[in-house]
Amino acid sequence: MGFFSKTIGRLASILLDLDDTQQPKEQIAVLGDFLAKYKFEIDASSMDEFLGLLKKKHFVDSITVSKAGEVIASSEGNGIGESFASAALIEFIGKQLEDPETILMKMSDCWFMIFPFNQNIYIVKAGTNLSTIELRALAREIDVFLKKEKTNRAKINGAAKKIPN
Amino acid sequence: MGRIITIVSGKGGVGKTSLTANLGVALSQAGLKVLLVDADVAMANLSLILGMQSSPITLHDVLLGESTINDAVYDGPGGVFFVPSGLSLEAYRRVDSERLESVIKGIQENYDFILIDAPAGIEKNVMAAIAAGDETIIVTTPDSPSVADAIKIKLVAQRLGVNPIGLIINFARNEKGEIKAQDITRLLELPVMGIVPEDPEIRRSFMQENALPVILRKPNCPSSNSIRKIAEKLAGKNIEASAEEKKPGFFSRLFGNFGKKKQTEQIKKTTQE
Repeated sequence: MGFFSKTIGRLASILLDLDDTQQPKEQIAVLGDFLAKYKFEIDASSMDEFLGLLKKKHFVDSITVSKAGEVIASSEGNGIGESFASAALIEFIGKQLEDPETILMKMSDCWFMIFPFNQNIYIVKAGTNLSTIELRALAREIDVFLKKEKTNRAKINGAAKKIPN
Repeated sequence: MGRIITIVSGKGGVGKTSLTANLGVALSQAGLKVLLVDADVAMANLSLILGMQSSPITLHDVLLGESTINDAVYDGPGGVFFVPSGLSLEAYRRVDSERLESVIKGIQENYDFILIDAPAGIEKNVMAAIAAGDETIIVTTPDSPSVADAIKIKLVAQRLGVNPIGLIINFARNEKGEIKAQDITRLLELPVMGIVPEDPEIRRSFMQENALPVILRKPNCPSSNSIRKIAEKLAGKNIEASAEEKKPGFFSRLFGNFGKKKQTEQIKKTTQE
């Protein structure tokens, strides 16, 4: 369409008021409220707080991180039983099947997902099963936080050593 | 190391595939080495827009572990390289889209830009396409259903730890009821990288025997100009429009037809003799 026909068309549309559309202001407001509900600013000072925020971000019920059967972190406070069982399960399945990525268990009302990531074992409980991509994304965030915590602890210990008696 | 950008939308039918193809060609015109990947393993369309529907080895074969990614790279129009997705439903049922990330990261250093055309929705295949990229660009149209889905896909990308870098507003008609660019920016908290007007030339470009991205078929039409500007932002340099094949004017077409008639009459005469 040429420039003149376009301009004439637009002019006619304005003069005859052919554009009867309206800004959906109420819908825009609803969308704004929707987004405000899902602000995921993960700025936590402790692991407990961090796992609590991660649960909301990834829509899961509980997260436990363990290493060699020992609990490193758990959103539920304990998680010892889960850690033992998961470590044993991963070890057993690893012996039966080569290199398992994730173990999914469907219970009557939830799913358990157990998977290794960077030498830790992650146990996630949720209402529905998460894909490996989602689980890895969750584990990656925890991994970064654990490393940051470790560095902070080393810094504090270093500073404590420097203080003279 | 090249940039891997996944083009997502949430809602289907917002022109994501067509934008991916044209952006890729525009970046290639800037002298960059560009790979387009059709990650829509269920509803592959990018090959149709590029006019490359008959490619024997596809992403399906790569994800099934039956071919390497390099075997599935083809020379596309306008200097782009292209990995098509297969049309087979059976292969689609068998592919593990979660392997996409490792496959794409394996060839990242061979290209300046890898643009991944993601499927619509927020399901597993979409997440695989997002996770395969380092950045995402969200395509939306200026209406509430599309913006609502754009918000959801932004949240999915953030959950997966992939950074959305901006928005493209497609099919803008400048109607009163359209959600304004500044409102979309405010809602999604992302900058608008460009507004592409609704342009019948885009549709016409794939309604051809030999389909071509609009940026090659009509390099100076409004949509091509807008897409080129977005590509310039990504590339960080100016991109010249390729020369358009000139259509014969009214008189040359008229006389051309007379010429054709004369020729046919002569052919008829010689065959009768």
